[in-house]
Amino acid sequence: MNLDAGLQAFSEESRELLQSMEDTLLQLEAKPDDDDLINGLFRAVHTVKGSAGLFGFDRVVEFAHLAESVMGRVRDHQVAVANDLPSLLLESRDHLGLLIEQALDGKPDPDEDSIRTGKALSARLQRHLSDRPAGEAQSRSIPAPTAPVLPARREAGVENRCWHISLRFGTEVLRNGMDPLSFIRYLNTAGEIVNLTTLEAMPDPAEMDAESCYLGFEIDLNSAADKEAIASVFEFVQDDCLIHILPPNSPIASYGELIEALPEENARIGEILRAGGALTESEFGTILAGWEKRLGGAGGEAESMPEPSGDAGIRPGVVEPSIVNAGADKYKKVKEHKEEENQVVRVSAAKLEDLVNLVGELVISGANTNLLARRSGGRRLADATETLAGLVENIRDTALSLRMVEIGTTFNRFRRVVREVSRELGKEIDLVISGGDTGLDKTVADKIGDPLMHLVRNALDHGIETPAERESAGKPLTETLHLNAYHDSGSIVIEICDDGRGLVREKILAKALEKQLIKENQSLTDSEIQRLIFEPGFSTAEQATNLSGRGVGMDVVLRNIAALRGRIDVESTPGEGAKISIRLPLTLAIIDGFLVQVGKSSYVIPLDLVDECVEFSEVASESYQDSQHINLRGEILPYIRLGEVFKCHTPGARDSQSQKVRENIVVTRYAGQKAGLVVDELLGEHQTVIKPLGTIFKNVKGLSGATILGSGEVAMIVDVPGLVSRVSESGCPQRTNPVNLEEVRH
Amino acid sequence: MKITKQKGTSKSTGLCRLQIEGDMTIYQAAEMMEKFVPCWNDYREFELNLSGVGEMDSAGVQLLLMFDRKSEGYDKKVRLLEIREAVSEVLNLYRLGQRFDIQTSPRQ
Repeated sequence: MNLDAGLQAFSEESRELLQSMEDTLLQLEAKPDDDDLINGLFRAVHTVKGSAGLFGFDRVVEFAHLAESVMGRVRDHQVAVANDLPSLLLESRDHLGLLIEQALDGKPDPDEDSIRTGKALSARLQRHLSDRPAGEAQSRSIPAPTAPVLPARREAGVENRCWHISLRFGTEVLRNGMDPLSFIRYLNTAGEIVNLTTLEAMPDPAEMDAESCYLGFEIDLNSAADKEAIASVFEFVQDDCLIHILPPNSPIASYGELIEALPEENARIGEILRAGGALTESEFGTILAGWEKRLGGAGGEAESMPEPSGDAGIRPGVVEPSIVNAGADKYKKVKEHKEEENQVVRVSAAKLEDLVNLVGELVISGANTNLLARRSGGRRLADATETLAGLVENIRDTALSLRMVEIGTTFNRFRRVVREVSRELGKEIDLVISGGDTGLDKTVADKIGDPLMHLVRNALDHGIETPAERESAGKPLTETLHLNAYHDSGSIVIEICDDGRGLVREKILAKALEKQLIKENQSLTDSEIQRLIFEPGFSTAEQATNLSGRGVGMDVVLRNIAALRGRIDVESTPGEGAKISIRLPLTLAIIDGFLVQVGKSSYVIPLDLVDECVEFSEVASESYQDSQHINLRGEILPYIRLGEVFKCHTPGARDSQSQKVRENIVVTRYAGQKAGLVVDELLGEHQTVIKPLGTIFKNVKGLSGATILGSGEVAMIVDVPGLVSRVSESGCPQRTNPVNLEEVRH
Repeated sequence: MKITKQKGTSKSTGLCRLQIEGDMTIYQAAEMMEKFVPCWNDYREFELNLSGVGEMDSAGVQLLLMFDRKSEGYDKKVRLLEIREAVSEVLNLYRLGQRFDIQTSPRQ
């Protein structure tokens, strides 16, 4: 057993659980009565505790246990979700995360800070465990047929002084050369097995596989060993077995959890635990009553429940049928849920990366094969390679979609930020998320998190007014921050909209003057002013709050997004709000390209951006020649000659031929803007594996990468947005500094 | 491994008496299973003489448990005869001594 792998799994699992705890807690604030949320929360912290216990992370277990106890009381409606409880639980969650991190780092001793935080939090959590409103809690939590079972201790622990171990072996255990017997034998050496019930889940003999394991056990072990020692017994099988270990005198609630977590019907397990002495009758009654209550039964119904019979046999009739059925339903649901989970396979990102790289190579060599086949003139060969090319394309799409993740996960991270900011600044902010299911490449999603966080903080900090300001502006007191995402022509667009004050022209200008980014009396258009906020060293925050203004400016955001081949746009209406749109490519690895030829060089234009191709007729353009526009069906279309921009026509090359080369214009559309690229020849679609250009080309605008053609030649990938902006910035392409490709290549 | 039907086996009474020779472990389980299933289908009361069974592991225990079906509409009974120490140790570890009707000598 590779312990590192185990720890890795624990680290991932706990990260997910902590995230889900955070999400749940934030939702819980809005819906404090939602039992599903409360149960989810309880389960999450319970699982963290259990897993941490397996690895012997005692400090994590200790703290998680406290938090779990409080959540258990919330679940049993003994503590209401009110006041500071959500905040307290959120802070506890953070602390738990910190403890787990420290444990994973292998730090032997916690630093003083974390001890202090831990103590403070523990004290606050304890308060929720002790201040039980006696009358109310008793009447609600104690089932009718049983005597009061809550002992004098703060927490209702069971009388059972043994460790309770529930084991369900995986089917492969025997085949893997392990025998459950040896575990039981070993347990015998670690303590005294007070009780053991063997459970079998065997199918009909006709369907039974004699080499599969169908056994499970409920064990009560009287032992002085600690949890770590007991858990370590099962280290070798913990991957494919269901293992639950409850310490002596565990809270009743944790037995309730256990019963529900086990695959058998709740009622059956309950009887087994009762018969085996793990639970007393009254303790079992408490659990039953708890279910009854949660299943929506009125409080009075509990009274009609028959008293659990005194004999120790397993008698199915003992428990009211409705409970048995409800238990079965629950079990079914749990099982379905489990099956759903099992349909997901975890794969390391590095492996996916390798796959995508290989697919890239496959695409290139596929293109090569295609080319050779076409040249050879064999029709059947050409047909076969055509089919192959179709398959390669499918593989490429599937491989890329494997890395697609939903942006929603990234968005959800901001709920916490928004919540905290609204507290801190005394602003009421509503976060609306839409388009969370929009997919994008994981590598892009990973890199967009920080820039987005910065933009969200900025919007909250600078964009949103105080309630007083809003009231005087006649706006609703609660602000709305809207995060939205959608797909648009091969890109994902992420929008951050707020209904705050928008970008204040005067403020930006004043700041820009102060920072000497502009000169006095310089006249600027609105969009130029808006772009000023992305200048290095620009910050309008009058006082540096701890939200934004941490020295990291919007220029960093802009740079990060540009590094992802994305762009950022700002729309703002003073007094009504601002919208920041980020446009990113869906993937960084392979694109559908459109191959064109200019002179002797090939270029690839991303196919998603290509609107149409038309023949470039001098006639249509003649009257617009000076301004580099043509009339495209009554629309003015600015165009660029790729050959001129990249200087790949040797001067006079065209004139030396008696006839003019027939030229084509590729009409591209990006972010609602159309532009034409004039090229010599259209070569058709081409699957393009993007090879990044080295750092020496980083200042070359207009090219976003290179690719290798089937023939082995290099083709440059045209960065349409970059090219268009470069041309529009300088007004006219002739005045730009052309990139001499011949120089670039050699 | 040898499984032989003994005198007294009768479809009319539903009793099946089997003499099992050899170990009951994962190594024999699949093969034994093949022989057991037809018996299981044809009879409803089983007397397994385990005097020739030297070793038993969890796979073997599962085979015994297979015979013993009372739920899901089945009413099958199993009796174990002449079990040896190694087998009884396993059954005791699994606390199955109570579940199986264990007899020291074959019922006459």
